[in-house]
Amino acid sequence: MKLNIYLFSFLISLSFAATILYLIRNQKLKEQYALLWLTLSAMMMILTLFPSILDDLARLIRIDYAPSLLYLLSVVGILFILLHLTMAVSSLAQRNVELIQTLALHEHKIQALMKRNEEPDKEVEPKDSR
Amino acid sequence: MFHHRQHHHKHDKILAIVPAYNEEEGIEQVIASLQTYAPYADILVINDGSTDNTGLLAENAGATVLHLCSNLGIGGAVQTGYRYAVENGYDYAVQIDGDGQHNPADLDKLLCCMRENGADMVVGSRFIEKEGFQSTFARKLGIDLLGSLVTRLTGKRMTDPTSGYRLCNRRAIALFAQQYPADYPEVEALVLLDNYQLTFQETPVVMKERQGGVSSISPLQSIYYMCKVILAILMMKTRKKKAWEMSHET
Repeated sequence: MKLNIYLFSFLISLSFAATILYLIRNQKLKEQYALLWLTLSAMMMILTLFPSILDDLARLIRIDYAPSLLYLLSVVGILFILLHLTMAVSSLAQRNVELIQTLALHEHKIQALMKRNEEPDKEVEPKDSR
Repeated sequence: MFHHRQHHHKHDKILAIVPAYNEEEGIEQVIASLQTYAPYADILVINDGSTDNTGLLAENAGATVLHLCSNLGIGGAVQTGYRYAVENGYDYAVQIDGDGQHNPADLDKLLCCMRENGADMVVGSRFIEKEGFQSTFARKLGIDLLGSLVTRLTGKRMTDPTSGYRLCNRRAIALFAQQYPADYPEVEALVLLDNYQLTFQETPVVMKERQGGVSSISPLQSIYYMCKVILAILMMKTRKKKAWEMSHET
């Protein structure tokens, strides 16, 4: 029974890693974010293959119930990934603002240029430089 | 030596930045009164992704209009105006709300105050002479709190830190074109100026109650507003002060 749940967890982490690799390969996941996830799945695989690591670590820092260390580690890990995402969203929002502003400024310039071109007979200069 | 005001205005390029989000009821009136009382200023309406006819009405009324393809909020809209001012070499830029609560006739006062005192930004305050629309009780409490906080942080007396009626010179325009807070920017912008060792000052103006549309802040939002603004200005205060260099100009 004990072996089964570890094997099962290992298979889950393995398919998780495979999914990440598949997403990177199909360019649906940027490498900078993918690295974070790959590290996470590697850690998951190590822990499921060698569960004694968790027990030893728990004993080392005097945690009686080893799985609670697992919960602690996973919550901290998830918190950091969420923080990372919020930072990414903030930076995207900032870029989005700049983009919308620049678009409006350029659109206005295009309109002005078009209006100037439509005006007939304004300085007959055949110069077409620039 | 005595110089008439209008005489000065002829030499300087002045831009009136009017952020407008769904203001079709009042925008024509604002533009018309700018044309009457501040004919020396070029009018730039920032149509902040309005879903009504604001943009079209403003264009027909004779203003230059920049259309933002989606709603950025007041900070992002106003910053577009400052970027336009930098690109087109304006000497002064004044922010005027698109809902008609600011009186364009007061622009002269702001300009005079700026020239006499040499401040980089002049803010129109409705609480110095206490004339005109004075805001609601709860809101006034919040404004007073923010005002005393800004006064303490920057050492400059501010009675109306949330006023959006403000005039900037070239230095302040260049700074704001580069960085400007995205939402509820007015109070933060003051501390931002102070961080870069630019100066600001208030001058009395008379404001009206907004003409049309709905106020942008609901009761629940005002709690968020206070928390966000206080956090933002305290964090901004912890940043290092450094003199603003205008070397970024092209």
